[in-house]
Amino acid sequence: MSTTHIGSRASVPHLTSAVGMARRDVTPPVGIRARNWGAADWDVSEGVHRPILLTALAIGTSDGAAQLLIALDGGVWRKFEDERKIRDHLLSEFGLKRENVLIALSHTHAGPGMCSGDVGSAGGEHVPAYMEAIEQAAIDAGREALDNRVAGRIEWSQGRSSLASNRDLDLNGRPLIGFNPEVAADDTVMVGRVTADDGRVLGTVVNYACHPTTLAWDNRLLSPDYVGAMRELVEDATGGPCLFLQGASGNLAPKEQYSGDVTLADRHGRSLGHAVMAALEDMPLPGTELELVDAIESGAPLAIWRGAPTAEETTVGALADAVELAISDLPTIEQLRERWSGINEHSLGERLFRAKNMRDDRVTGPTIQYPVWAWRWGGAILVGHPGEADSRFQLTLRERFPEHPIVVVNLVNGPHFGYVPTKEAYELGRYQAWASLLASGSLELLEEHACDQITRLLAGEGAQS
Amino acid sequence: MSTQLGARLATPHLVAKVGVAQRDITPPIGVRSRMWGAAKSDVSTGTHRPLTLTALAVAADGSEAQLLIAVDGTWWRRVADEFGVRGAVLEALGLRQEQLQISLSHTHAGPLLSVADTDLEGGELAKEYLGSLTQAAIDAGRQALDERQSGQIEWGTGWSSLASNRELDVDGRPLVGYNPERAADDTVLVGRISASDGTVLGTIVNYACHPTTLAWENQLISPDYVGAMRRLVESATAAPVLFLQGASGELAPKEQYSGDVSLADRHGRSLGHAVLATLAGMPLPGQELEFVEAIESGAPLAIWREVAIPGNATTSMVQGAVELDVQVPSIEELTTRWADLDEGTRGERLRRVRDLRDGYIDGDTVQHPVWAWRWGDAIVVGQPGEPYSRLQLRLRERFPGTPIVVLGLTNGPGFVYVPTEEAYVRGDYQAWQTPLVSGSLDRLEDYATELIQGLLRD
Repeated sequence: MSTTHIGSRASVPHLTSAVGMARRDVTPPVGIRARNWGAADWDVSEGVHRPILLTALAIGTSDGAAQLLIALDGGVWRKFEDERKIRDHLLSEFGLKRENVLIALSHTHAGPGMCSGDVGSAGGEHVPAYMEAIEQAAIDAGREALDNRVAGRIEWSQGRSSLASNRDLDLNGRPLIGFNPEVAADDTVMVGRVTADDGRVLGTVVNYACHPTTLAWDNRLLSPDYVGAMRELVEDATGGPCLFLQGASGNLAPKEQYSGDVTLADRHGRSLGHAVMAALEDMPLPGTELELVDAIESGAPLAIWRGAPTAEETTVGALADAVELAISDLPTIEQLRERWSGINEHSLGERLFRAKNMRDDRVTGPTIQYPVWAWRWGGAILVGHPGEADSRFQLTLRERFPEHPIVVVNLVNGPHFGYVPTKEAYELGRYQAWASLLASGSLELLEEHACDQITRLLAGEGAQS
Repeated sequence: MSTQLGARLATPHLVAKVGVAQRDITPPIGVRSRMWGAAKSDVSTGTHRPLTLTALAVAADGSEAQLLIAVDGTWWRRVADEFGVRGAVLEALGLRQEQLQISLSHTHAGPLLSVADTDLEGGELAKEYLGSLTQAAIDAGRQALDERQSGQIEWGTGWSSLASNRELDVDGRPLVGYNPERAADDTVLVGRISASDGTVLGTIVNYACHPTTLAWENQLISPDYVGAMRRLVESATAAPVLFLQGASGELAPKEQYSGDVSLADRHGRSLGHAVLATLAGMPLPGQELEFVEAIESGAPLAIWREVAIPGNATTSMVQGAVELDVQVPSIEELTTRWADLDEGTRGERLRRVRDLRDGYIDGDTVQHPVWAWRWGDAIVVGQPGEPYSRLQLRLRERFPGTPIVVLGLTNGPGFVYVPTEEAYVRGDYQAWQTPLVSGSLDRLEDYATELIQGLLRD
């Protein structure tokens, strides 16, 4: 028997809060180091496909409990002090609590170098000034978003995009990173509509899990990858900035990728952008949800649903506690050099550079404290962590908390310890497993930790007021 | 078992001569447009968005042409009206019956499609309208056939959350309206029609959702959500859209029965963006993905690239009918059953029942016609009824990997609901309104399956 009755609601998960958004263009000068691919035989960017952007979202009515989310078109923080410096500046500049600031990278693989250690390399002379520029842009956009907060709301909808595919391919027992047509990929797009009380759209939050690896070594232009065209399409249609949050995409990427063709990145972006717009257009108008108001006789007996004002939902919460994870049994740099002796010089150099950077400043013992940020925004939850989790992470959280939109964000804050892959990836010797500092079993511990944080947030812990 | 170098992600397609033509078939203001029992007005007072008729002609080398005509229209009330239009098109273009499918979008804000109601307000205009609709179908059909050029139709599958299940039960009373407790089929099948040089000639959109956003409070002629969907896709692709209503017997928008045309437009944009997402996710025209190389970079990488499709050029077609059982109460019994309703509503219901029976029901069974076409890797199945979405779900489940375009409200006679067994048990509107007995959907599914098996075998 149905439990729907006159007065039933199809609820729209939402937060009622002061909200503000701001945007800065942080496209660096051409010629900046842009070494993202082992197979590349060049080091510096030669032009710009689409602008590199920084977008800020501030929420919270009282300044002491405000939350600031910064989304940046960037690949990865190779040195964690680089990220920490920017975040510390934001915390001190605005007097925000540590749990209330997130810096999220889109993970574009066609972005500029963001590593202070690159200064002596080709194109590295532009990097220090660029790091200063993104720090200043984060401060400026953060201030503008905080200062311009107006009474409004964030409401959530869920769509689907076929852009992402599973990228764990086995070729006769050899694990490769590339489209595997035999395994389905998580296609969830979480869409948050940010509006003022008068219904005006202030911006859109898009959370989707897919490696921005359309563009690779044959592309020498700075690019946000698919995020660029997605953002342009959504911003043109809505009139507000679009803030992109990379999901748990450790095992997800476009089917066709590793290309030099920027029009392919744009096709990918439009595909995702239209999926976002489809979800937005299917939402009830801002501040309303559907209510079953009447049953009437016409040619047929009809059930009438109409938009009705949503109740205020003002609970904001934040937790920033760490989970202890084990470091894997790491080979030495010399052992790695031996293992990879058969591959080309550029790829070998890149792999050894990555391995050294990861070891240098993060590993201090057999385990590490892995930080995880969890926010409650009314009916929605946002979980951010510095690594690159397998999509099982978001699937698990959404399955455990089906009543709540769960925004899951990889590459948030730091320090970054690499991939957080499944046990199977370790058993099969996948790239994500051998490139990570974390031991097998970390994903399971991370999932349990995040579920515990969400349970506590929903019980009222971490309330910000 | 595992994916090897040279593996392909096939783009289902047909390589053939294709032609597309479109006509504006917006009726004059004042045409009869009584679609709702609860409506206070019988005629239109204006136009929300234009109604269109779009023709697609397809012919593989050495095969007979197939002509598919998509029309913004509600439904046929009489067998004679439907065949009046279709027969004229067949004769004018020299086609046999199996070569032509005329498919209605099922907008519930369209003009009356009948020549028989000239005694009623706006009925004379409706009669004239059917004449101009017939001429538009002939003109567009001829143009599509004449302008055929070498090209291809390629298929992609997307999703739209516009449709919801509309089998609601409130305290044991079955209602037609959004049921949040049941999932709806959200499949959008998208066909990109392009010339050999890659120029997009048109887009086929097959989606199952009652165009019932607009109802008795709206007096404007409108394609409902199909209008804004078409406008969005046509402006993005610079080519006409053929909208084909799927098996939507129990599917409709969540918010509907409205007088607000902007709601219909929001619905249309939602579906339209889903179509554009699907199109943008497809390889370029004439291409599909191949696993071409494994290389070492920072990680070991698998490279997939776009390569030419193999070029499936097989077309075939079959027309048949499935015998279905009927059980109908007499008109007198219905008059007694509906005695408590107001006179307008009762009259409307009785009239619908009479018009449905003439020329279709003769005894205890009907011959329910089905058209099935093969377009290379894809199948198009059309029939005149309004089946529940299980028809398309089952057919797609039985032929995975084959795009199955399922059309309701196509050709005639048999303009009736084909509900699930559960709908009869619950006593849903669709079950008491149809003359078909429980179990008909199974028979239709099995019959369509046989036709498809035959086409794929040949």
